[in-house]
Amino acid sequence: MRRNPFKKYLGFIKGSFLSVLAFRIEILAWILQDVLNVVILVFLWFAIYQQNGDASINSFTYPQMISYLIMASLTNQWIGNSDTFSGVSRDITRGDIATSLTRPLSYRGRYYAASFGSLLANFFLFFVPLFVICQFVFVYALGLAWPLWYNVIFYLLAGLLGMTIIDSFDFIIAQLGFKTNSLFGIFIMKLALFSFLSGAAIPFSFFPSWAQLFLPYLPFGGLSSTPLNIFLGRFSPLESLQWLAVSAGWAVVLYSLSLLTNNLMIKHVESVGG
Amino acid sequence: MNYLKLYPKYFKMALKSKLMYRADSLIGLLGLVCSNAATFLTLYLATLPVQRLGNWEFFNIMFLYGFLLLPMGLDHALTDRLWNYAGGLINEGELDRILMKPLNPLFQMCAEFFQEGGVGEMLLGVIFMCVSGPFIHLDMSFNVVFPIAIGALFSPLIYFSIKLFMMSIAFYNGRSLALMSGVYNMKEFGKYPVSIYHNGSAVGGIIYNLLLFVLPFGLVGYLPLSAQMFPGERIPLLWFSIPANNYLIMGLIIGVALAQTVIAYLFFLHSLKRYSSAGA
Repeated sequence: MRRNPFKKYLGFIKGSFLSVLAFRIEILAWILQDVLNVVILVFLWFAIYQQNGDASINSFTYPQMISYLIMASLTNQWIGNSDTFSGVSRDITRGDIATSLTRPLSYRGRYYAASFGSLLANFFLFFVPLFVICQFVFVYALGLAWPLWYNVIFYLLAGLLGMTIIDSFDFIIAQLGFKTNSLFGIFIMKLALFSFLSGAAIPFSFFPSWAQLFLPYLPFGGLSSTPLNIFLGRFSPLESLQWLAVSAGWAVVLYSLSLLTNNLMIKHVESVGG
Repeated sequence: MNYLKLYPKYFKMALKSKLMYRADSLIGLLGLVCSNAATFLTLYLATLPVQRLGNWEFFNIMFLYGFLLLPMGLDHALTDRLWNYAGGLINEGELDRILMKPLNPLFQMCAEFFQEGGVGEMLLGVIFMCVSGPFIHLDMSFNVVFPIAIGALFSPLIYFSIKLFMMSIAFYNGRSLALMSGVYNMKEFGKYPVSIYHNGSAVGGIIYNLLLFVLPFGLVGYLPLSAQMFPGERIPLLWFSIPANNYLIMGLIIGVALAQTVIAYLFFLHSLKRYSSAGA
Protein backbone atom coordinates (compact mmCIF):
# COMPACT_ATOMS: atom_id res chain seq x y z
CA MET A 1 0.00 0.00 0.00
CA ARG A 2 1.35 3.42 -0.95
CA ARG A 3 1.17 5.98 1.82
CA ASN A 4 -0.05 9.42 1.04
CA PRO A 5 3.17 11.49 0.63
CA PHE A 6 1.41 14.66 1.76
CA LYS A 7 0.07 13.19 4.97
CA LYS A 8 3.22 13.92 6.94
CA TYR A 9 2.87 17.62 6.16
CA LEU A 10 -0.65 17.79 7.59
CA GLY A 11 0.80 18.01 11.09
CA PHE A 12 2.65 21.18 10.18
CA ILE A 13 -0.45 22.75 8.67
CA LYS A 14 -2.37 21.96 11.84
CA GLY A 15 0.49 23.09 14.09
CA SER A 16 0.84 26.54 12.61
CA PHE A 17 -2.95 26.90 12.44
CA LEU A 18 -3.12 26.30 16.18
CA SER A 19 -0.21 28.61 16.96
CA VAL A 20 -2.03 31.47 15.23
CA LEU A 21 -5.03 30.67 17.44
CA ALA A 22 -2.82 30.68 20.52
CA PHE A 23 -1.32 34.09 19.74
CA ARG A 24 -4.58 35.69 18.64
CA ILE A 25 -4.36 38.52 21.20
CA GLU A 26 -0.87 39.49 20.11
CA ILE A 27 -1.92 39.27 16.45
CA LEU A 28 -4.86 41.52 17.24
CA ALA A 29 -2.38 44.09 18.58
CA TRP A 30 -0.50 43.95 15.27
CA ILE A 31 -3.79 44.33 13.39
CA LEU A 32 -4.55 47.47 15.41
CA GLN A 33 -1.32 48.86 14.03
CA ASP A 34 -2.51 48.19 10.49
CA VAL A 35 -5.72 50.02 11.36
CA LEU A 36 -3.66 53.01 12.54
CA ASN A 37 -1.71 52.96 9.30
CA VAL A 38 -4.94 52.96 7.33
CA VAL A 39 -6.13 55.96 9.37
CA ILE A 40 -2.97 57.89 8.42
CA LEU A 41 -3.54 57.02 4.77
CA VAL A 42 -7.18 58.09 4.89
CA PHE A 43 -6.11 61.54 6.09
CA LEU A 44 -3.15 61.80 3.74
CA TRP A 45 -5.21 60.92 0.69
CA PHE A 46 -8.05 63.13 1.85
CA ALA A 47 -5.62 66.07 1.84
CA ILE A 48 -4.35 65.05 -1.59
CA TYR A 49 -7.81 64.71 -3.13
CA GLN A 50 -8.87 68.01 -1.54
CA GLN A 51 -6.07 69.74 -3.46
CA ASN A 52 -7.37 68.19 -6.61
CA GLY A 53 -10.98 69.29 -6.18
CA ASP A 54 -12.04 65.67 -5.51
CA ALA A 55 -11.70 64.60 -9.15
CA SER A 56 -10.13 61.21 -9.87
CA ILE A 57 -6.34 60.98 -9.87
CA ASN A 58 -4.61 58.42 -12.10
CA SER A 59 -7.96 56.63 -12.62
CA PHE A 60 -8.69 56.40 -8.86
CA THR A 61 -11.45 58.35 -7.12
CA TYR A 62 -11.09 58.96 -3.38
CA PRO A 63 -13.43 56.09 -2.33
CA GLN A 64 -11.70 53.76 -4.78
CA MET A 65 -8.30 54.72 -3.39
CA ILE A 66 -9.40 54.13 0.20
CA SER A 67 -10.92 50.75 -0.64
CA TYR A 68 -7.73 49.83 -2.53
CA LEU A 69 -5.51 50.67 0.47
CA ILE A 70 -7.78 48.95 3.00
CA MET A 71 -7.93 45.83 0.86
CA ALA A 72 -4.12 45.95 0.49
CA SER A 73 -3.79 45.85 4.26
CA LEU A 74 -6.40 43.08 4.62
CA THR A 75 -4.85 41.00 1.85
CA ASN A 76 -1.46 41.16 3.49
CA GLN A 77 -3.06 39.92 6.70
CA TRP A 78 -3.96 36.55 5.24
CA ILE A 79 -1.32 35.97 2.58
CA GLY A 80 1.72 37.67 4.09
CA ASN A 81 1.89 36.35 7.63
CA SER A 82 3.95 33.22 7.32
CA ASP A 83 6.68 32.38 9.77
CA THR A 84 9.07 31.17 7.06
CA PHE A 85 11.59 34.03 7.18
CA SER A 86 12.01 34.07 10.95
CA GLY A 87 11.77 30.29 11.19
CA VAL A 88 14.48 29.53 8.63
CA SER A 89 16.79 32.27 9.91
CA ARG A 90 16.31 31.00 13.47
CA ASP A 91 17.13 27.46 12.36
CA ILE A 92 20.31 28.70 10.74
CA THR A 93 21.60 30.97 13.51
CA ARG A 94 20.81 28.48 16.28
CA GLY A 95 22.00 25.47 14.33
CA ASP A 96 18.64 23.69 14.63
CA ILE A 97 18.75 23.18 10.90
CA ALA A 98 20.99 20.15 11.35
CA THR A 99 18.35 18.25 13.31
CA SER A 100 15.59 19.47 10.99
CA LEU A 101 17.38 17.86 8.08
CA THR A 102 17.44 14.46 9.75
CA ARG A 103 13.65 14.28 9.54
CA PRO A 104 12.22 12.24 6.68
CA LEU A 105 10.49 15.13 4.94
CA SER A 106 11.40 18.08 2.74
CA TYR A 107 12.64 21.03 4.75
CA ARG A 108 11.15 23.41 2.16
CA GLY A 109 7.86 21.53 2.05
CA ARG A 110 7.58 21.64 5.81
CA TYR A 111 7.76 25.43 5.88
CA TYR A 112 5.33 25.75 2.98
CA ALA A 113 2.86 23.53 4.85
CA ALA A 114 3.27 25.64 7.99
CA SER A 115 2.67 28.82 5.99
CA PHE A 116 -0.46 27.30 4.53
CA GLY A 117 -1.70 26.51 8.03
CA SER A 118 -1.19 30.06 9.24
CA LEU A 119 -2.82 31.33 6.05
CA LEU A 120 -5.95 29.30 6.84
CA ALA A 121 -6.02 30.48 10.44
CA ASN A 122 -5.49 34.13 9.54
CA PHE A 123 -8.06 33.85 6.78
CA PHE A 124 -10.91 32.52 8.91
CA LEU A 125 -10.04 34.17 12.21
CA PHE A 126 -9.18 37.69 11.07
CA PHE A 127 -9.64 38.24 7.35
CA VAL A 128 -13.23 37.05 6.90
CA PRO A 129 -14.80 39.09 9.74
CA LEU A 130 -12.80 42.23 8.92
CA PHE A 131 -13.54 41.75 5.23
CA VAL A 132 -17.30 41.57 5.82
CA ILE A 133 -17.23 44.73 7.95
CA CYS A 134 -15.15 46.54 5.33
CA GLN A 135 -17.52 45.50 2.52
CA PHE A 136 -20.41 47.18 4.33
CA VAL A 137 -18.25 50.30 4.80
CA PHE A 138 -17.32 50.28 1.11
CA VAL A 139 -20.91 49.96 -0.05
CA TYR A 140 -22.80 52.10 2.46
CA ALA A 141 -20.20 54.70 3.49
CA LEU A 142 -18.10 55.03 0.35
CA GLY A 143 -20.85 54.30 -2.18
CA LEU A 144 -18.98 51.55 -4.03
CA ALA A 145 -20.65 48.53 -5.65
CA TRP A 146 -20.67 45.02 -4.14
CA PRO A 147 -17.86 42.84 -5.57
CA LEU A 148 -18.77 40.40 -8.37
CA TRP A 149 -18.74 36.70 -7.43
CA TYR A 150 -16.21 35.67 -10.07
CA ASN A 151 -13.88 38.50 -9.04
CA VAL A 152 -13.98 37.19 -5.46
CA ILE A 153 -13.02 33.70 -6.67
CA PHE A 154 -10.22 35.09 -8.86
CA TYR A 155 -9.07 37.21 -5.91
CA LEU A 156 -8.81 34.18 -3.63
CA LEU A 157 -6.84 32.32 -6.32
CA ALA A 158 -4.54 35.32 -6.78
CA GLY A 159 -4.06 35.46 -3.01
CA LEU A 160 -2.98 31.82 -2.86
CA LEU A 161 -0.48 32.40 -5.66
CA GLY A 162 0.71 35.57 -3.91
CA MET A 163 1.28 33.63 -0.70
CA THR A 164 3.38 31.09 -2.61
CA ILE A 165 5.46 33.91 -4.08
CA ILE A 166 6.03 35.61 -0.70
CA ASP A 167 6.77 32.34 1.06
CA SER A 168 9.31 31.28 -1.57
CA PHE A 169 10.98 34.70 -1.48
CA ASP A 170 11.16 34.56 2.31
CA PHE A 171 12.65 31.08 2.19
CA ILE A 172 15.30 32.10 -0.34
CA ILE A 173 16.20 35.36 1.40
CA ALA A 174 16.37 33.78 4.87
CA GLN A 175 19.14 31.52 3.61
CA LEU A 176 21.37 34.57 3.39
CA GLY A 177 21.70 33.83 7.12
CA PHE A 178 24.58 31.58 6.10
CA LYS A 179 26.42 34.61 4.76
CA THR A 180 25.49 37.43 7.11
CA ASN A 181 24.47 38.06 10.71
CA SER A 182 22.42 41.09 9.81
CA LEU A 183 19.13 39.40 9.01
CA PHE A 184 17.26 42.24 10.70
CA GLY A 185 18.62 44.68 8.11
CA ILE A 186 17.65 42.29 5.33
CA PHE A 187 14.19 41.83 6.85
CA ILE A 188 13.58 45.59 6.95
CA MET A 189 14.81 45.96 3.37
CA LYS A 190 12.57 43.11 2.24
CA LEU A 191 9.49 44.66 3.84
CA ALA A 192 10.20 48.04 2.24
CA LEU A 193 10.84 46.52 -1.18
CA PHE A 194 7.75 44.31 -1.06
CA SER A 195 5.35 47.03 -0.01
CA PHE A 196 6.67 49.52 -2.56
CA LEU A 197 7.10 47.25 -5.58
CA SER A 198 3.95 45.18 -5.00
CA GLY A 199 1.63 48.16 -5.28
CA ALA A 200 0.52 47.76 -1.64
CA ALA A 201 1.72 51.22 -0.67
CA ILE A 202 0.46 52.97 -3.80
CA PRO A 203 -1.22 51.66 -6.99
CA PHE A 204 0.94 51.08 -10.05
CA SER A 205 -0.96 53.77 -11.96
CA PHE A 206 0.81 56.41 -9.82
CA PHE A 207 4.24 55.25 -11.00
CA PRO A 208 5.99 56.96 -13.95
CA SER A 209 4.91 55.52 -17.30
CA TRP A 210 8.28 53.82 -17.93
CA ALA A 211 7.95 51.91 -14.65
CA GLN A 212 4.36 50.89 -15.44
CA LEU A 213 5.68 49.02 -18.48
CA PHE A 214 7.54 46.39 -16.46
CA LEU A 215 6.33 46.63 -12.82
CA PRO A 216 3.24 44.42 -13.29
CA TYR A 217 5.41 41.70 -14.82
CA LEU A 218 7.70 41.46 -11.79
CA PRO A 219 6.78 38.81 -9.20
CA PHE A 220 5.96 41.50 -6.60
CA GLY A 221 2.80 42.58 -8.41
CA GLY A 222 1.30 39.19 -7.56
CA LEU A 223 1.35 40.08 -3.86
CA SER A 224 -0.94 43.10 -4.01
CA SER A 225 -1.55 44.76 -7.33
CA THR A 226 -2.96 41.72 -9.14
CA PRO A 227 -5.32 40.45 -6.40
CA LEU A 228 -6.50 43.99 -5.58
CA ASN A 229 -7.20 45.06 -9.15
CA ILE A 230 -9.07 41.80 -9.70
CA PHE A 231 -11.14 42.19 -6.56
CA LEU A 232 -12.01 45.83 -7.19
CA GLY A 233 -13.22 44.93 -10.67
CA ARG A 234 -10.56 46.94 -12.49
CA PHE A 235 -9.76 43.97 -14.74
CA SER A 236 -12.09 42.24 -17.22
CA PRO A 237 -12.42 38.47 -16.63
CA LEU A 238 -10.01 37.84 -19.51
CA GLU A 239 -7.45 40.28 -18.09
CA SER A 240 -7.85 38.67 -14.68
CA LEU A 241 -7.00 35.28 -16.15
CA GLN A 242 -3.98 36.74 -17.93
CA TRP A 243 -2.57 38.28 -14.74
CA LEU A 244 -3.36 35.13 -12.77
CA ALA A 245 -1.24 33.27 -15.32
CA VAL A 246 1.66 35.70 -14.75
CA SER A 247 1.38 35.16 -10.97
CA ALA A 248 1.15 31.40 -11.42
CA GLY A 249 4.28 31.48 -13.58
CA TRP A 250 6.21 33.35 -10.90
CA ALA A 251 4.88 31.09 -8.16
CA VAL A 252 6.20 28.02 -10.00
CA VAL A 253 9.54 29.65 -10.83
CA LEU A 254 10.14 30.94 -7.30
CA TYR A 255 9.03 27.75 -5.60
CA SER A 256 11.44 25.79 -7.82
CA LEU A 257 14.18 28.29 -7.02
CA SER A 258 13.53 27.86 -3.32
CA LEU A 259 13.85 24.07 -3.73
CA LEU A 260 17.10 24.57 -5.63
CA THR A 261 18.61 26.90 -3.02
CA ASN A 262 17.43 24.47 -0.35
CA ASN A 263 19.45 21.70 -1.99
CA LEU A 264 22.51 23.92 -2.26
CA MET A 265 22.05 24.92 1.37
CA ILE A 266 21.96 21.34 2.56
CA LYS A 267 25.42 20.85 1.10
CA HIS A 268 26.55 23.94 2.99
CA VAL A 269 25.27 22.50 6.25
CA GLU A 270 27.25 19.31 5.65
CA SER A 271 30.47 21.21 5.06
CA VAL A 272 29.99 23.21 8.26
CA GLY A 273 28.92 20.29 10.42
CA GLY A 274 31.81 18.10 9.29
CA MET B 1 31.04 62.20 36.63
CA ASN B 2 31.56 58.48 36.58
CA TYR B 3 29.03 57.82 33.82
CA LEU B 4 30.49 60.46 31.54
CA LYS B 5 33.81 58.64 31.70
CA LEU B 6 32.22 55.22 31.30
CA TYR B 7 29.99 56.06 28.36
CA PRO B 8 32.81 56.55 25.82
CA LYS B 9 34.24 53.19 26.87
CA TYR B 10 30.90 51.42 26.46
CA PHE B 11 30.37 53.22 23.17
CA LYS B 12 33.76 52.12 21.87
CA MET B 13 33.00 48.52 22.76
CA ALA B 14 29.59 48.63 21.10
CA LEU B 15 31.09 50.19 17.98
CA LYS B 16 33.92 47.67 17.85
CA SER B 17 31.55 44.73 18.15
CA LYS B 18 29.66 46.14 15.17
CA LEU B 19 32.74 46.85 13.09
CA MET B 20 33.93 43.30 13.56
CA TYR B 21 31.46 42.37 10.84
CA ARG B 22 31.79 45.22 8.36
CA ALA B 23 29.56 43.79 5.65
CA ASP B 24 26.82 43.05 8.20
CA SER B 25 26.98 46.60 9.53
CA LEU B 26 26.61 47.93 6.01
CA ILE B 27 23.50 45.80 5.48
CA GLY B 28 22.07 47.00 8.79
CA LEU B 29 22.76 50.58 7.78
CA LEU B 30 21.12 50.12 4.39
CA GLY B 31 18.05 48.41 5.88
CA LEU B 32 16.61 51.49 7.53
CA VAL B 33 17.74 53.68 4.61
CA CYS B 34 15.77 51.48 2.19
CA SER B 35 12.73 51.49 4.42
CA ASN B 36 12.70 55.29 4.72
CA ALA B 37 13.46 55.75 1.04
CA ALA B 38 10.48 53.55 0.15
CA THR B 39 8.15 55.48 2.46
CA PHE B 40 9.38 58.74 1.01
CA LEU B 41 9.10 57.57 -2.61
CA THR B 42 5.50 56.54 -1.90
CA LEU B 43 4.81 59.99 -0.52
CA TYR B 44 6.51 61.50 -3.57
CA LEU B 45 4.39 59.50 -6.02
CA ALA B 46 1.22 60.27 -4.04
CA THR B 47 1.75 64.03 -3.98
CA LEU B 48 3.15 64.21 -7.52
CA PRO B 49 -0.24 64.80 -9.20
CA VAL B 50 -1.19 67.67 -6.86
CA GLN B 51 2.28 68.93 -5.81
CA ARG B 52 1.15 70.13 -2.38
CA LEU B 53 -0.67 69.41 0.89
CA GLY B 54 -2.26 72.64 2.09
CA ASN B 55 0.48 75.25 1.98
CA TRP B 56 3.16 72.57 2.24
CA GLU B 57 4.71 72.12 -1.19
CA PHE B 58 6.62 69.02 -2.14
CA PHE B 59 10.06 70.32 -1.14
CA ASN B 60 8.70 71.56 2.21
CA ILE B 61 7.46 68.03 2.87
CA MET B 62 10.81 66.56 1.83
CA PHE B 63 12.67 68.95 4.13
CA LEU B 64 10.37 68.00 7.02
CA TYR B 65 11.02 64.31 6.37
CA GLY B 66 14.79 64.83 6.30
CA PHE B 67 14.71 66.98 9.43
CA LEU B 68 12.73 64.31 11.31
CA LEU B 69 15.23 61.61 10.41
CA LEU B 70 17.97 63.32 12.47
CA PRO B 71 16.44 62.97 15.98
CA MET B 72 14.81 59.67 15.00
CA GLY B 73 18.14 58.30 13.73
CA LEU B 74 20.04 59.49 16.80
CA ASP B 75 17.55 57.74 19.06
CA HIS B 76 17.75 54.58 16.91
CA ALA B 77 21.54 54.57 17.03
CA LEU B 78 21.91 54.94 20.79
CA THR B 79 18.94 53.29 22.48
CA ASP B 80 17.69 50.60 20.12
CA ARG B 81 18.53 47.76 22.47
CA LEU B 82 15.28 48.53 24.31
CA TRP B 83 13.43 46.75 21.48
CA ASN B 84 15.22 43.51 22.27
CA TYR B 85 14.38 43.83 25.96
CA ALA B 86 10.72 44.28 25.05
CA GLY B 87 10.95 41.34 22.66
CA GLY B 88 12.16 38.61 25.00
CA LEU B 89 15.63 39.44 26.37
CA ILE B 90 14.09 39.75 29.83
CA ASN B 91 12.72 36.22 29.63
CA GLU B 92 16.16 35.02 28.62
CA GLY B 93 17.62 36.33 31.86
CA GLU B 94 19.67 39.11 30.33
CA LEU B 95 18.56 41.46 33.07
CA ASP B 96 20.22 39.37 35.80
CA ARG B 97 23.61 40.10 34.28
CA ILE B 98 22.82 43.80 34.17
CA LEU B 99 21.52 44.01 37.71
CA MET B 100 24.70 42.36 39.02
CA LYS B 101 26.81 45.38 38.11
CA PRO B 102 26.87 48.43 40.37
CA LEU B 103 25.74 50.70 37.54
CA ASN B 104 22.43 52.21 36.51
CA PRO B 105 20.57 49.41 34.68
CA LEU B 106 19.08 51.73 32.06
CA PHE B 107 22.53 53.13 31.31
CA GLN B 108 23.87 49.64 30.68
CA MET B 109 20.86 48.55 28.62
CA CYS B 110 21.29 51.45 26.21
CA ALA B 111 25.07 51.89 26.15
CA GLU B 112 25.88 48.27 25.39
CA PHE B 113 24.50 48.43 21.88
CA PHE B 114 24.97 50.57 18.82
CA GLN B 115 22.39 50.44 16.03
CA GLU B 116 24.19 51.35 12.82
CA GLY B 117 20.89 51.79 10.97
CA GLY B 118 20.41 55.04 12.87
CA VAL B 119 23.52 56.46 11.23
CA GLY B 120 22.03 55.57 7.86
CA GLU B 121 18.83 57.41 8.77
CA MET B 122 20.75 60.51 9.82
CA LEU B 123 22.76 60.45 6.57
CA LEU B 124 19.56 60.13 4.55
CA GLY B 125 18.08 63.00 6.56
CA VAL B 126 21.02 65.26 5.72
CA ILE B 127 20.75 64.30 2.04
CA PHE B 128 17.00 65.06 1.98
CA MET B 129 17.57 68.45 3.63
CA CYS B 130 20.42 69.36 1.27
CA VAL B 131 18.39 68.40 -1.80
CA SER B 132 15.19 70.19 -0.80
CA GLY B 133 16.72 73.18 1.05
CA PRO B 134 17.59 75.26 -2.05
CA PHE B 135 14.02 75.01 -3.39
CA ILE B 136 12.21 76.48 -0.38
CA HIS B 137 12.26 79.67 1.60
CA LEU B 138 14.36 79.11 4.73
CA ASP B 139 14.96 81.88 7.22
CA MET B 140 18.58 81.34 8.31
CA SER B 141 18.76 84.15 10.90
CA PHE B 142 20.10 83.28 14.35
CA ASN B 143 16.78 83.78 16.11
CA VAL B 144 15.20 81.10 13.93
CA VAL B 145 17.98 78.52 13.53
CA PHE B 146 19.16 78.57 17.17
CA PRO B 147 15.83 77.61 18.82
CA ILE B 148 15.21 74.95 16.16
CA ALA B 149 18.65 73.43 16.79
CA ILE B 150 18.19 73.45 20.58
CA GLY B 151 14.72 71.93 20.20
CA ALA B 152 16.15 69.24 17.91
CA LEU B 153 18.72 68.34 20.57
CA PHE B 154 15.90 67.54 22.99
CA SER B 155 13.50 65.87 20.58
CA PRO B 156 15.25 62.46 20.49
CA LEU B 157 14.06 62.22 24.11
CA ILE B 158 10.49 62.15 22.81
CA TYR B 159 11.16 58.94 20.86
CA PHE B 160 13.29 57.53 23.67
CA SER B 161 10.79 58.16 26.48
CA ILE B 162 7.93 56.52 24.59
CA LYS B 163 10.08 53.47 23.87
CA LEU B 164 11.23 53.31 27.49
CA PHE B 165 7.71 53.55 28.86
CA MET B 166 6.35 50.80 26.61
CA MET B 167 9.39 48.59 27.16
CA SER B 168 8.98 48.83 30.95
CA ILE B 169 5.66 47.01 30.64
CA ALA B 170 7.72 43.94 29.76
CA PHE B 171 8.87 43.77 33.39
CA TYR B 172 5.34 42.72 34.27
CA ASN B 173 4.68 40.07 31.64
CA GLY B 174 8.03 39.38 29.98
CA ARG B 175 7.12 40.74 26.55
CA SER B 176 5.74 44.03 25.35
CA LEU B 177 6.92 44.08 21.75
CA ALA B 178 3.55 44.28 20.00
CA LEU B 179 2.33 47.06 22.26
CA MET B 180 5.61 48.96 22.01
CA SER B 181 5.65 48.69 18.27
CA GLY B 182 2.04 49.83 18.05
CA VAL B 183 2.58 52.98 20.08
CA TYR B 184 6.01 53.75 18.64
CA ASN B 185 4.72 53.42 15.09
CA MET B 186 2.42 56.35 15.72
CA LYS B 187 5.58 58.21 14.69
CA GLU B 188 4.53 57.51 11.10
CA PHE B 189 1.75 60.06 11.59
CA GLY B 190 4.42 62.71 12.22
CA LYS B 191 6.19 62.11 8.90
CA TYR B 192 3.59 64.22 7.11
CA PRO B 193 2.68 67.82 7.90
CA VAL B 194 0.45 67.30 10.93
CA SER B 195 -1.89 69.96 9.59
CA ILE B 196 -3.44 67.36 7.25
CA TYR B 197 -5.17 65.83 10.30
CA HIS B 198 -6.57 69.21 11.30
CA ASN B 199 -9.15 69.15 8.55
CA GLY B 200 -12.23 70.03 10.54
CA SER B 201 -13.33 66.49 11.37
CA ALA B 202 -13.58 65.42 15.01
CA VAL B 203 -11.32 62.40 14.60
CA GLY B 204 -8.76 64.54 12.83
CA GLY B 205 -8.81 67.10 15.63
CA ILE B 206 -8.20 64.39 18.22
CA ILE B 207 -5.30 62.91 16.23
CA TYR B 208 -3.82 66.36 15.68
CA ASN B 209 -3.74 67.23 19.38
CA LEU B 210 -2.66 63.70 20.31
CA LEU B 211 0.36 64.16 18.07
CA LEU B 212 1.29 67.41 19.74
CA PHE B 213 0.81 66.47 23.40
CA VAL B 214 0.36 62.78 24.17
CA LEU B 215 2.53 61.06 21.58
CA PRO B 216 4.19 64.30 20.55
CA PHE B 217 5.78 63.19 17.29
CA GLY B 218 4.29 66.26 15.67
CA LEU B 219 6.37 68.45 17.95
CA VAL B 220 9.62 67.08 16.58
CA GLY B 221 9.39 68.33 13.03
CA TYR B 222 6.08 69.93 12.18
CA LEU B 223 5.89 72.72 14.77
CA PRO B 224 9.44 74.11 14.52
CA LEU B 225 9.49 73.87 10.73
CA SER B 226 6.08 75.40 10.17
CA ALA B 227 7.24 78.36 12.28
CA GLN B 228 10.37 78.49 10.13
CA MET B 229 8.72 78.17 6.74
CA PHE B 230 5.46 80.01 7.34
CA PRO B 231 6.24 82.77 9.86
CA GLY B 232 3.34 84.91 10.99
CA GLU B 233 0.76 82.12 10.83
CA ARG B 234 -0.97 80.94 13.95
CA ILE B 235 -0.80 77.30 14.96
CA PRO B 236 -4.01 75.79 16.37
CA LEU B 237 -3.63 73.83 19.62
CA LEU B 238 -6.51 72.26 21.55
CA TRP B 239 -9.15 75.04 21.58
CA PHE B 240 -6.78 78.01 21.19
CA SER B 241 -3.92 78.88 18.88
CA ILE B 242 -0.37 80.08 19.41
CA PRO B 243 1.71 82.40 17.24
CA ALA B 244 4.39 80.60 15.23
CA ASN B 245 7.21 81.81 17.46
CA ASN B 246 10.37 79.72 17.41
CA TYR B 247 11.37 80.32 21.02
CA LEU B 248 7.87 79.50 22.25
CA ILE B 249 7.95 76.23 20.29
CA MET B 250 11.45 75.45 21.56
CA GLY B 251 10.17 75.85 25.12
CA LEU B 252 7.23 73.56 24.35
CA ILE B 253 9.51 70.87 22.91
CA ILE B 254 11.94 70.99 25.84
CA GLY B 255 9.11 70.98 28.38
CA VAL B 256 7.24 68.06 26.83
CA ALA B 257 10.42 66.06 26.14
CA LEU B 258 11.76 66.43 29.68
CA ALA B 259 8.39 65.78 31.32
CA GLN B 260 7.88 62.60 29.28
CA THR B 261 11.39 61.37 29.98
CA VAL B 262 10.96 61.85 33.74
CA ILE B 263 7.60 60.07 33.71
CA ALA B 264 8.97 57.19 31.61
CA TYR B 265 12.05 56.84 33.84
CA LEU B 266 9.99 56.81 37.03
CA PHE B 267 7.74 54.15 35.50
CA PHE B 268 10.86 52.19 34.50
CA LEU B 269 12.18 52.26 38.08
CA HIS B 270 8.78 51.35 39.46
CA SER B 271 8.35 48.42 37.05
CA LEU B 272 11.89 47.19 37.59
CA LYS B 273 10.95 46.37 41.19
CA ARG B 274 8.33 43.98 39.80
CA TYR B 275 10.98 42.03 37.96
CA SER B 276 11.73 38.64 39.39
CA SER B 277 14.50 36.57 37.94
CA ALA B 278 13.56 33.33 36.26
CA GLY B 279 16.59 31.58 37.69
CA ALA B 280 16.20 32.41 41.34
